[in-house]
Amino acid sequence: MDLDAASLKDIDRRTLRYHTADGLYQLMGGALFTFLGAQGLIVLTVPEGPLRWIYFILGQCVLMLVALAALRVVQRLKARITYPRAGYAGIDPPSKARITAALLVGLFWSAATPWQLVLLLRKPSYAQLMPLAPLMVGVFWAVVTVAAWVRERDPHWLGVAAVALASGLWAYHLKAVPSGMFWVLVSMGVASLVLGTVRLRRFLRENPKPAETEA
Amino acid sequence: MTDLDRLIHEPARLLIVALLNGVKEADFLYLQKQTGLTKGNLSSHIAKLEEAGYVEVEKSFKGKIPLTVLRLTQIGRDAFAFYKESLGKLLSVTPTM
Repeated sequence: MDLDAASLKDIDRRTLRYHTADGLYQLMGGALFTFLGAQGLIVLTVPEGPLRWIYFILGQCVLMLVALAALRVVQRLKARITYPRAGYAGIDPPSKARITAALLVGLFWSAATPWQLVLLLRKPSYAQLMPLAPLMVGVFWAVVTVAAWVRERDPHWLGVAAVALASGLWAYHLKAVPSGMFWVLVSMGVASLVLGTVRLRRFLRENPKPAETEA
Repeated sequence: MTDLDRLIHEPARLLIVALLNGVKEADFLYLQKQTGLTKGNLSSHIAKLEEAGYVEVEKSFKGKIPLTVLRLTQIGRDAFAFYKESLGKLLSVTPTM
């Protein structure tokens, strides 16, 4: 056991990887992305008009509630599946500054989205950019997931990034607007579900439940 | 070398402290899995760190199973930060071969 400055840095990454080694967060994220994309695709089947937007906004609210519930479910699953096998490590709670920043970004995003949609509907020049939308969504999520890979060095993120980019390009090629944006989310969600399942199976194989001794 | 904390500098203890520094708290099994140490070896290193006030050990039961949760104290976090700084300084002045 020999440690140097470089391996000390790797220990931080190892701690980050530990929290995703069981695949449960990937499964949760995959389910949420699939739900978000599918909800968008379902909303598109509703005839144009105020009812469509009501469905869309209701869907977003349901998604937020589902996300909160999913976090609790993952914590319970970790207590049953992960901790008895790989041990328990609690994450430091986020600082107040981080929570405030996340809330501000969320509020900005929530406020900006309807305005973007209004602009797209009212200004034809913006509408010309619409075919690029699925590609932009794909590139955006590819960048986000590659950034996660840089932080954690977890290959799962590269797989999701490749799927996001490929599905964005595919939807752009087919000029599938606006459904292409939602298909990108569904593709990412399904990729994350598949990779999460593979990871969970591997985790269970590599970490059999030990006899009930000290934890 | 004089600046390096001997208690932390020992590889097994360094690994334990570095692992605990990245989390709020961890149990014995987590440390055992991550370090690859035997129970006895890990216990003896933890005892030394606890004696120095670097680690806080909380023993309880989860059902009938004993549960040992460990946390790095503020003294431990400060000592580890100082150790990393000292190691960085030492490496920066050491000529490369």
